Amino acid sequence: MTTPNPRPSFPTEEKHFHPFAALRFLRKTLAVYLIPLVNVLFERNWPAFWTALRQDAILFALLCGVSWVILRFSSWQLDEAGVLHLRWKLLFKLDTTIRGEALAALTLERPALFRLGGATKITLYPTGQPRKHVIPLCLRRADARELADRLLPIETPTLHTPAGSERAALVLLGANGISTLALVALAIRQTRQLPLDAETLAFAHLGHLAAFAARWLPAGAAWLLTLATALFGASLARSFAQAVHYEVWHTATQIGSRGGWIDRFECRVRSAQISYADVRVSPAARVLKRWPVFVTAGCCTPELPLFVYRSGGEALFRELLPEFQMPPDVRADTTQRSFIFFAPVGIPFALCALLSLVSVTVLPAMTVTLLIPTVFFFVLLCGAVMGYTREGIWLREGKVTLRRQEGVYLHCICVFHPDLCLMGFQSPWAANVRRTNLTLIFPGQVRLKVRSIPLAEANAVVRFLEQESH
Amino acid sequence: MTERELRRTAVIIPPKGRAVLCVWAAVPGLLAAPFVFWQGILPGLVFAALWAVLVFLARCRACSFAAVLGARTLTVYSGIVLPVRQVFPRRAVTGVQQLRTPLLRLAGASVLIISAPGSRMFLPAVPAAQAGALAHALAEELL
Repeated sequence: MTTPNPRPSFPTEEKHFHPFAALRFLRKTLAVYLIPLVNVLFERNWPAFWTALRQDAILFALLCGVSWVILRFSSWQLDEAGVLHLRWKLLFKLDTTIRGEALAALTLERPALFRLGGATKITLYPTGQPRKHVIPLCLRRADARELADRLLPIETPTLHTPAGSERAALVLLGANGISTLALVALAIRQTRQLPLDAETLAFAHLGHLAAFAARWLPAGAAWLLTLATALFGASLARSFAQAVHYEVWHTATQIGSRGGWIDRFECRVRSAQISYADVRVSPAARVLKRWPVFVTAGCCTPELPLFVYRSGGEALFRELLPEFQMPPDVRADTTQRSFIFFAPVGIPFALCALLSLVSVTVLPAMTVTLLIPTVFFFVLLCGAVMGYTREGIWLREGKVTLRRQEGVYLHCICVFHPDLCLMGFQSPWAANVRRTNLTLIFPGQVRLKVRSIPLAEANAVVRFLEQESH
Repeated sequence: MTERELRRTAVIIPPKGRAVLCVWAAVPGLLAAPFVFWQGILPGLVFAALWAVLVFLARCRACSFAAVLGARTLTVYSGIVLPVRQVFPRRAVTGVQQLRTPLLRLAGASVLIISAPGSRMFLPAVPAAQAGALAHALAEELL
């Protein structure tokens, strides 16, 4: 990574947005001229089709004109104090001011199309604001880089580039977990040697996979697996493309990552605005013994883990997030705990299992097909058991830590932000057994719910907030 | 009322404040009632009874409402059958709005809307003096 030199503070001239900024507007109007066209196309009324096409062309020209007006009369400027001004000057004047200090995070994205056009999408995440108040801007590449360096400058960063194995872990952990399970099932059942390279397998022709799966499964089930494998392949390819050239850095005031092969991205997060860090324990992570760490600041929740560490190699973790505390590795108190954990997946599992049992005598050809959703819901049910026995909230060395389950994932979370709001909710049954659901509300309207915890544990967190001094 | 006095006691909704809340809860029902009675006497009576139950539940919830100002947090308790507790750190408060309508003024009450980065808290029809003191105490955190 090239370390940006500290730039002198000087105002930039007033600049317009990149023409690609109009794409957002044009994309929203796409339906307006496509729907009439599709209607006449299906009716095969060719004279009406040509008329609709002409009308669409006129409409498109009109919308292009509106886009030109938007681009012409909107602008941005950085003043000498490094404050960003967004301006609109037609009919009325609107000046929006954004200070760098008021940002929790920013991201720079360069999808392939934007790279071809020399554009960069920069998204600003103001502190404490919800997702609907983020500010996406489309600028020229150099302008976006300059803006990012002025708003959240990177000064003397300490770099870490994931090694090969870590990168592989990043690829795998970012991929779709459900599709992974489908691929594993395929691999177990295979009768001949397959290439062990997951990427080669995922990229293989869809028809070959279908033919292979059809050898041992009914057509419907085979296609289900093929679809899942194809999704896995797409997810794997995307994760791989994102993980190429991946690097993570930290400075005294911020933490960030960048990477990407076709679509490039960069994320800069202000350390003081990190709401929480989340070590996501998935089945794949357990197998690889590598733990991805996701960081949330304001409403900025990057899709990729900030970094991945392996068991016994927590040095990087300690370097990047020195204050992180893992929730204690204990089983939660399950005395009179609510069975709500099992309801969302237990009911479909019971239905699918019942259908599978019935199909053994009534329609044996469907049994294998029905077993696929049964196994799927069984896996989710195992996840629910994990949540039932592990979900909870604890105080550890001055930090609120919690563990919560979502699907087959177990989120081990450490709260960093002091502006934490709490909401406790009790049903009459929960009140009777002195349990409560506790929702943690972070800046940016990010909410995390811990279900059916003892009231005493919730009270301990409330007391901690009352006593905490900053 | 000083902050110290405020911290010694919980802020609750007084009877007059509860009456205002009941009036507010009843208004949509009163507006909708003629249209339901138009359909027939029986549906109208059922609707009126249901709405009366709703207003009664709102009153019960108002009875259970209590806001407690601590040294570092503001905690609001509400609900009997479905108890809810909200805890706001005082330092997280980003804005306090005080609302007084003619009806609230007659009842000597105010509505406080307290904003934090992640959420918002409503203190409906609390005594005006306590609401003012609470707003002042929380506003000090903003400075």
